[in-house]
Amino acid sequence: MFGDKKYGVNMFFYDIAHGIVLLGGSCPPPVKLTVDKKPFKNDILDEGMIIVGNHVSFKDPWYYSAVFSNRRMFFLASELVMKDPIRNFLCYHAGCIKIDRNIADIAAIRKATQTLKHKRAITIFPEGTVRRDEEQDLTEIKAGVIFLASQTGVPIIPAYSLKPRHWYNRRTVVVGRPFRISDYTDKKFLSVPEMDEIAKALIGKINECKNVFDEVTGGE
Amino acid sequence: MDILQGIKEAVTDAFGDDMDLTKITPEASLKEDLGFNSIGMLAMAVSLEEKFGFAFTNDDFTGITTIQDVIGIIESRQK
Repeated sequence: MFGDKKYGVNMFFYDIAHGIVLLGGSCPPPVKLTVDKKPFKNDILDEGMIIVGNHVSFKDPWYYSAVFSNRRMFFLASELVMKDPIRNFLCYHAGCIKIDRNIADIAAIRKATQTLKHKRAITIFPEGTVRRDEEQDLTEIKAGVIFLASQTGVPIIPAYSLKPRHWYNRRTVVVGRPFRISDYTDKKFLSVPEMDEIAKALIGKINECKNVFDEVTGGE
Repeated sequence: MDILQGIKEAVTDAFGDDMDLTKITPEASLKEDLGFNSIGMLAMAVSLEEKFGFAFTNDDFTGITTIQDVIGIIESRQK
């Protein structure tokens, strides 16, 4: 009745919710930069991709949607974010895939895999929580993002951003080069220690974005 | 394929060669004895799905604590 239902989400409601998220992330529009300090043109890939970034605010998904505005963006969200019925309804229709971090949530992984195989983008904040000590480098991320990338073969796009000093300041987002698991190993099936090792390399790529961010913005 | 042997192979896939396979007995606790976390469980599950040709559901992971529980799930799917 109201459009296609794909990946378990009614796309009619999704597009309305996504439009609201895009609007929220575009007021004011973020400053989008690559790690080469050039304007990010948002045309890097025409395939499924996982965007990973640091998580400093509940508005982060808005800004990442605005940066990758030509993509239908989905998010992996913890069960805590979607714990009450209203938030669950809103997040679900805005493209959040609920993942229960207390169990091996294979249903969420399957849904995310299907979404990526249909050339959609998924944003993951692999630190697993909003960080208050936001000036620090990333030192640890959950290996689930590596697991998902290895299962689907899609690239990971590292990114970094901080809240601007004032609400009316434009937010800067630095986007790194695509990070492919195949650059590190030929294996499709990775063990946990191998995933942890590749996660360290990914942390390095996110911190490269952080260094550019600090250089360009003075860390603000 | 012998189920316990299949689980040992899946555990090796999931945790690498450092895992002491002699610890993998039906009574072994997944968390306390083998140190499984959620990503390790997922990695093992994907390997088991490939070996035994069925798909796990989230319900399968609710309440499993030992290798015997995993054997039970595989046996129930093979019937």
